[in-house]
Amino acid sequence: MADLARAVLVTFNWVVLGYFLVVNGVYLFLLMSAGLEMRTHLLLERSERRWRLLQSDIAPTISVLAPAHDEAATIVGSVRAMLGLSYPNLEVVVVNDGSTDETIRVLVDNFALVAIHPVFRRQVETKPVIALYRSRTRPNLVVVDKQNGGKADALNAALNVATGQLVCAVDADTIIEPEAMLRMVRPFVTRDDVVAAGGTIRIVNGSEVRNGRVTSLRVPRRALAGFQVVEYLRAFLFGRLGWNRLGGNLIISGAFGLFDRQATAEAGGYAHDTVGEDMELVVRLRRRSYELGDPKAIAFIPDPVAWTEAPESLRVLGRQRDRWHRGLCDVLRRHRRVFLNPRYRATGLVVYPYFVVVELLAPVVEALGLVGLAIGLLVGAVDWSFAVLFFLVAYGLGIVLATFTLALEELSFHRYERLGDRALLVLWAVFESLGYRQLTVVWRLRGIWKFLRKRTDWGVMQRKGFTPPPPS
Amino acid sequence: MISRQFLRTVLAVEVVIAVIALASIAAHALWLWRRQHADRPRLDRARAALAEALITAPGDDGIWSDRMAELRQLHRRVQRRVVQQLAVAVTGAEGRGVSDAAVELGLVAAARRRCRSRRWWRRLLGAHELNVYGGGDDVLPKLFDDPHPAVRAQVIEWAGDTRRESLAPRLVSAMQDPAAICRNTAADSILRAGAPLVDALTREVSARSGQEQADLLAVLARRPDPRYRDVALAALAGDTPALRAAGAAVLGGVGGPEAAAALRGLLADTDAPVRVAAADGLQRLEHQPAAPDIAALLRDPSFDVRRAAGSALAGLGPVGILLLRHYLEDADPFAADMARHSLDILALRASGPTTPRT
Repeated sequence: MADLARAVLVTFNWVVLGYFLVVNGVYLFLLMSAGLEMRTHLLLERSERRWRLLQSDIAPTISVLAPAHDEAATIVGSVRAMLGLSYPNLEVVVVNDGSTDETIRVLVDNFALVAIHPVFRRQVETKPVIALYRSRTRPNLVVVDKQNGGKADALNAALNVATGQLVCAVDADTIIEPEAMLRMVRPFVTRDDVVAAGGTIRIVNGSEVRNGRVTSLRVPRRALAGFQVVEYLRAFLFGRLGWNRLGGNLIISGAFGLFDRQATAEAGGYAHDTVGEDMELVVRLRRRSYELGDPKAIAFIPDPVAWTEAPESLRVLGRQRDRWHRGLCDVLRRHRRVFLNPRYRATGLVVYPYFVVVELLAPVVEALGLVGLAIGLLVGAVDWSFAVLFFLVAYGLGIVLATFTLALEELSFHRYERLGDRALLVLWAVFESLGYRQLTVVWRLRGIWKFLRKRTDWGVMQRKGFTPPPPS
Repeated sequence: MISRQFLRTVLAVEVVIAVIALASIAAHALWLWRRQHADRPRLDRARAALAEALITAPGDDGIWSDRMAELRQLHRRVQRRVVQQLAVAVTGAEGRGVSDAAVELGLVAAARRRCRSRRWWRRLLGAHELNVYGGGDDVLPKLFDDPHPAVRAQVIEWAGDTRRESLAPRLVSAMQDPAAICRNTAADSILRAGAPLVDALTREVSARSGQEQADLLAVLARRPDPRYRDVALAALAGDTPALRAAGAAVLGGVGGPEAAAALRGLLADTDAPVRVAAADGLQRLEHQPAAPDIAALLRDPSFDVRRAAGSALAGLGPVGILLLRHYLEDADPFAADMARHSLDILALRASGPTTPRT
């Protein structure tokens, strides 16, 4: 019996090692790809007069879509910040998604809204629209008042009303940098094959925010937010940038993404019945483009930045991560026909399998690896020195990726100006793999479990709010 | 079992990579900090020297030479930055002075060398610099056929900035470039070049046909000029909707005795984008006799046409408003809806901006 257990453990160790090698190989490839992509981006950026093109008459029109539900307290500031974005042809479409508070009254009062007869092209089905408003003071503001149908339904209503060639879905609690739109539209102006583009989301915790703008950027002093800063940098500057060069981006953050309006509407808009509606839309757009015989790309641009507040409590963060992983499970299940299907070329043969093997199954393999190691230690199949060595190698990789990402950030955008902040960021990068990463494994496993039990709740996101500057 | 030696090797590699990454972060942060502190006084000195040279130089070669000598002592990066900053901010005699300074400091020569580099990003930088300083007339045209689209786009931008008639054919040809960045830059450059190129563009648009002509007309419609009228009128008989729509868009901007009648004829076109362009053009010409024909488009099966018709009627003054009111009771609910919507928008605009409650 002991021999059998030992044999099973040895085999299992080999499986884990194989997985480890595959994942590391992919990461190494992504690492190099991200480095090259960043270099190309920076070299192109140096001839800054190309900005002229992005501000010209021929730049596409953009509609910013902002769903709002019970946001009377913050909606005015959010809408003002959106209207203040630097872009020549910008329309802002706010959707009051059946708020039970005074959101619509606040909007009507503050933006001198006038109800107009609601006429729009109903390309995507939504809950009934109650009223359509336009502003007397802001000609580029449109407000839709509709029955509650959830975020995806609100976005679809906004999609119907929007007139821009491109639509930008933003979360009302996201701060978009004033120049972000000009940067984000770049792939649509420079390429023919882009159907959607995403920018970088960064963590605002610990920084000062004034009038909807980040005025003093700092690295959070609290560990949980600090770890998330490193995590976000890694996800965007390493993961998405790396896939960008390989043509395999499948995710655009729901908090900040730019889409071709016509293609999005023709694809049916946002799906209602998923918690991962942002990824689902991107995968659907990509898949549809292959099926129509005109493959389209999803571009990631590293320099347009939107700031978001990271959860600072384990409970809220856990709910967020479990929801994200449920969303991933759901999207991969819905589009399972893409898996290893040559019809979808690199997306089907490389990208989709990567998301299944690395993104979806990573917590499972990591948890099983830890359990196997513990059992191995208990039955004496593994000795302590080996276990420690294996642990160091596995988590050392996390540290390598995090530090490489920080190096990429330092050599490119170096947004954190203070030397102390950079040092603190390195500290969070080193310690992120010890404890925090294991917690995310637990949350993601919980997400898989809930997905298997068909749970589709979003959970409540409690936010602290942005930090105003200290009184002078 | 997994070999310990293998794990030790992997761990050692990880440690080396992490240490290199950390060292590069620290080194870059320190270098950046030092450069920021060291560059500030240098940049101030360079700006003062260049400004003095530009203000006092005409008629005083001694001061010019002294200031250039002072600038030459600074790092090439600082020279480049200051000259570029000033080059985009001044024009006329001072602009020429900045170009002279760029020549004298060797910046133009360096940029010309970059234009001949084998690396695309060096050529891009060289082309960009020559576009700013000037002095690339013999080098830059060779880059119109560069293999890298970003370099071609940079040269197209330069061609637009020079506003030379001789470069108009290159600009127009660039609108058919396989790379979107080149096509869009060409369109933008044509729009920015403005009046000096109108004659050359008229010749170009007349000489082309089909999609090429449609693309160019669509751009020219944004800055219409009466000299485009004849070719636009001819385009209305084109065999593609894009060409007819582009012709209608141009005519809406330039007008003329035949324009209104021709546009009215297009209101019955088989393609929706052409009907949209015709309705929009007639509104821009404020051609009120066409109002009943435009109003009939409120019943059009295409949403875009109905919207364009509503908007056109709203812009045609009392006649259009009367027709919109008439259509409020129309049997076609889509027509009635659009009429109501258009009147609401009109009322909103007429009420003017108000001060919102704060």
